[in-house]
Amino acid sequence: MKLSYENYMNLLFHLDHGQETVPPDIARRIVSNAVSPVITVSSTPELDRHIRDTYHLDSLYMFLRFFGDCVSDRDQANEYQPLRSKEEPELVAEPPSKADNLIENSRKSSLKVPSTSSDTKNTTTSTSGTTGGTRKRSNSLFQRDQTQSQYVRFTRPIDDLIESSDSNDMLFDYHSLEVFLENTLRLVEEYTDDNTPFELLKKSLYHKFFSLAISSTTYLSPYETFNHPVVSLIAIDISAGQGYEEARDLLIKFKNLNHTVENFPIFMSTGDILPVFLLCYNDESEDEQNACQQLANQLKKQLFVESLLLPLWKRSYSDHGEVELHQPIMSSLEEMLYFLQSPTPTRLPLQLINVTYNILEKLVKDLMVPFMKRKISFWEETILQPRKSLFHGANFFKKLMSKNSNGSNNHQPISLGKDKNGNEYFVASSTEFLMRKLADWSMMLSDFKTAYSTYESLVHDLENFPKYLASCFEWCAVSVLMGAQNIVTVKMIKNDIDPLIQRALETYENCAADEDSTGEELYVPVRSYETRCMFLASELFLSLSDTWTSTPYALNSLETILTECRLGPCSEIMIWERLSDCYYQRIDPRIRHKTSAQGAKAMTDELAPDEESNEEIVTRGLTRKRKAAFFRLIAANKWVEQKQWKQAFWCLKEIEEAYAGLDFVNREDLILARLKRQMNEAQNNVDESSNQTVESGAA
Amino acid sequence: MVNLSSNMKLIFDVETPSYKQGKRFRNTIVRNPSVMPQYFAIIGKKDNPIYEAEFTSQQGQQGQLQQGFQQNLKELNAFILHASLDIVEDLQWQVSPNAQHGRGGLSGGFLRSKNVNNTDNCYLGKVDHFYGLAITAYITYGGMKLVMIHGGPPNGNTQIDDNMVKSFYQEVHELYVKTLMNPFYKVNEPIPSPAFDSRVRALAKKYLNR
Amino acid sequence: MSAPAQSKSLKAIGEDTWKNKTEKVNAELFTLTYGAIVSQLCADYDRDFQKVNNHLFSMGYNIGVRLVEDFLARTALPRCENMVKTSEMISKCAFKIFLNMTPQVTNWSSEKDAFSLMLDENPLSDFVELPMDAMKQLWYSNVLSGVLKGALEMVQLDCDVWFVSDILKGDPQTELRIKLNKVLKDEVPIGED
Repeated sequence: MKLSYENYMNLLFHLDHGQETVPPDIARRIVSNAVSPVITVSSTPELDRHIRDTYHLDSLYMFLRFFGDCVSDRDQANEYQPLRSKEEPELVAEPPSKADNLIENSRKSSLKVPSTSSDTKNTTTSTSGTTGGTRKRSNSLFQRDQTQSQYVRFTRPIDDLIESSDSNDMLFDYHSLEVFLENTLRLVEEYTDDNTPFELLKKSLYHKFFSLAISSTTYLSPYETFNHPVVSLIAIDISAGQGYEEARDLLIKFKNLNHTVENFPIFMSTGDILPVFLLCYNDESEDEQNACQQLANQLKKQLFVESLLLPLWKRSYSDHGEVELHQPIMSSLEEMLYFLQSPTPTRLPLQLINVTYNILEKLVKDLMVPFMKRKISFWEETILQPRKSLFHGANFFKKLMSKNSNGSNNHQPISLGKDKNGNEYFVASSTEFLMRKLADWSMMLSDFKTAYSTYESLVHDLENFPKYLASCFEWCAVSVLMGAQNIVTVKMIKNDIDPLIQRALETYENCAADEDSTGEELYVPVRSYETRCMFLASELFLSLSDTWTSTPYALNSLETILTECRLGPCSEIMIWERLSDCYYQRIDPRIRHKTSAQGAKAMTDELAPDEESNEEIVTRGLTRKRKAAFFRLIAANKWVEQKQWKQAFWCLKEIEEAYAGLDFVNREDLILARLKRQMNEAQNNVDESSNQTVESGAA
Repeated sequence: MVNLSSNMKLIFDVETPSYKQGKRFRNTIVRNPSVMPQYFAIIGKKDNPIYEAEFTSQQGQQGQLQQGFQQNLKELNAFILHASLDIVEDLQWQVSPNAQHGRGGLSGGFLRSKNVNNTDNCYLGKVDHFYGLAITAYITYGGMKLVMIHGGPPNGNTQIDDNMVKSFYQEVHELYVKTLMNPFYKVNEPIPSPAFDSRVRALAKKYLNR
Repeated sequence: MSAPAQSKSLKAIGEDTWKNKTEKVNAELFTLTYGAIVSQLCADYDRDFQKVNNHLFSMGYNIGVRLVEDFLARTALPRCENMVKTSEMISKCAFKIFLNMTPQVTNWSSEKDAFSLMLDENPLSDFVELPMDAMKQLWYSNVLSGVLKGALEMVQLDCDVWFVSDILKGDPQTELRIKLNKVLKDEVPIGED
């Protein structure tokens, strides 16, 4: 079985895959997942109680959050491990064969860069079933991977999110990130021994860390819409007798959130969120099935809202094996932390999992994506097209136009509004914000070309709004890196992409400086976005095929993070290690061909560390192996400072080869020897203390 | 020619971006800013040093503690130097007809020229840096790498007087050639000669730590 | 033939021969060739430097006995009537022609039968630095002693030739001592005396 995206991201729990290579395109997958549409889940207390009674989960949200990430990958179902598979092979084939096929096919498509058309066809017809499938865009400059639009993230109800947020929230907070890392490292300590293959695990840890630093499902930024909900699931419990009345009330409540919720952000509008009813019922009761069907029709006719039917209960579910669920890849940092610190294993029936995935696929394919596309084309027609055709993006005319069309001399009051704290934002209905949304949603749907051109044209409108501008620059660059990955050239990086990133960083920097001077805040929220920008840039640069050209830019970003961001010690070491990875990947394309055929095969995204270990004269100067070793050494030193012995041990192991036989770096008075001594001492201390406990126990 | 105080966003620094703030290095190096130590080594073909020296300023009165690298850097120096060899080797093979000292595009290099037939183009200038330390290099035609870490002031980049450093390297190169001519010296082995050592130190004093 | 030669100073003869009648080789090649021999001998004799000295001496002797023929043929110089003359011949002509240097002649013994050549430069030992273990015993340029010994013997002068000091060993100067034991009379052709 090939290493899946999910297995890689949670590699610690799949150590049997520890010796494989990093999945290709991992950075793009993570970014796609990080900006994937957010679905809020609100449910009635009755439903939550019912779920708690049957599945020991606090709410429907707690249930659904496990099904986030790449829906078509069906990761949770893959957790199923038939223990008696050898004795009873039939049992393995027991789950619905259709679902099985789905898994197979989606797996294929998600792990390969889409290339062969036959493969693609196969996937689309089988996965999308009735919808007819999304057509693949043919050889567009901006290539898209169709699995990218299948990622989703679940989050709590909007009112809940708004209540718990505060305008000083950061995208992620450095401290939580650090605590998360510490906890993860503790787990690593627990799950591994000295013989565990660690290279891939370390990379996986970094990517996990990276994914948390670039995404949030809890904080609603006024400057971008990636974390704003796209779909709102409204769930009722048919088994508990809930029906039209409850559904209608919930919908009304949802529609009126704008007014009823205090502090409802002026930059959000429930009008841009698709409400979908989720009718949960017991599959054994025909009455309930019929009731659901009827209710769905009624809701559609009278409230114009689609419904999905989820057979949440069925006695026979438990007959077909249970699956222990893993935590979703993209979850909020707070949730991650919570579950790391108080792990509560969750088990669900395999069948229910498959059924849920079926429903979710329907939600994504039949409702969410079409909804987003409709909205996008609506915005394109009403906002983008008139501007383009009339004035060709000329700034001067645009200003004229907005003045005239608004019929007033001041164009700002229409677009801008103040929230209760007196902060001024573009309101949800403003042209600027809708364009931003258009771009962001195109990003979510992997239409990078539209995203790019929209961000680019938006840049001119936002010149006077640095916070909006910074994010716009950032995502303009990201959309190129995501979309034009295979055709990015040195010139493009130098003339287009890097300047965009630099401008984004400068703009962020200025914003942060402004806030620094006015407020007394220790952490300025915009800082976390600046950090994210550098993280994104580094990983995406690193994922380009010509690593020789692109790694310097990745290095640049990472080193700036180290110098400028207030990350915790472990987070910093992660970056030191990543610097080392970068140097490892810096290989001149000319000597790649010199490497063995099998090496060339593995050379996709990340490089196996022992590639071309047989040093040839031609490789001299065309790699940065010594640099890589050096940064690994620094990391080792810092791990020792943090008393993270396992991590230090791994680092030292990785550089063993690089420094072997070099007398002058192995001298007793140098750092390498010192670290080894410290490691031994620590080891001895551990041994002694364990001996002592044994002795005392014996006594 | 080589403006080392330049902004880190310059293209050259893309190779290995500089740390803007040296102060972030824990155990900050505190010393008289006008007196910088250097760690110098001649590296052979198998990454083996055939000569190593740490130069400290001898300006102070006798008995006064000499200004050297702090312990945390001392134990790291060899590694910093080793790490920069990748870049030296990279620059070594870059032959370009319009080569001049300076930054030629993204490759970020001091390119070697075929047209210059003295040892001017052996000097590669600043090739690398680490936390405010600058690393300069010089490569002999026989492929020996002369590399030096220049200690810097606690904050900001180390300033390097390229002409002085180049002269230092060239004279050490000459000394090295003489050493090679010594029939008792085995090529690629450490240079044991105390005379060589004292001559190199004299040169260091002359050019680097005046 | 002999009359004009005598009228010329020895110095002039030496310089003239060096300039016009001598094929020259690259000094570094020469130095390195000799150096290679010495260091190889050191290795071959397991760093028994006494043996190396002896071997260098005998190599020199073998060179000397041949070289003197060449020297005389080239310069067509007459016999020397005493050691003072001999010393000047060695310094101003022989050393000049073969090594392009003119060692200073000093330290005459009271009997005028022994003198020293001070080599303020030594093309054999350019670039050389003795390894620590060789400092005490090795006479790096001992081949010169042998050459002189062999050459003088061929002109009926039985001499002892040895190094007294060597800059390579940390001495202030390099001194080569030549002491006449006896003139080999029996080989002097009749009628010349």
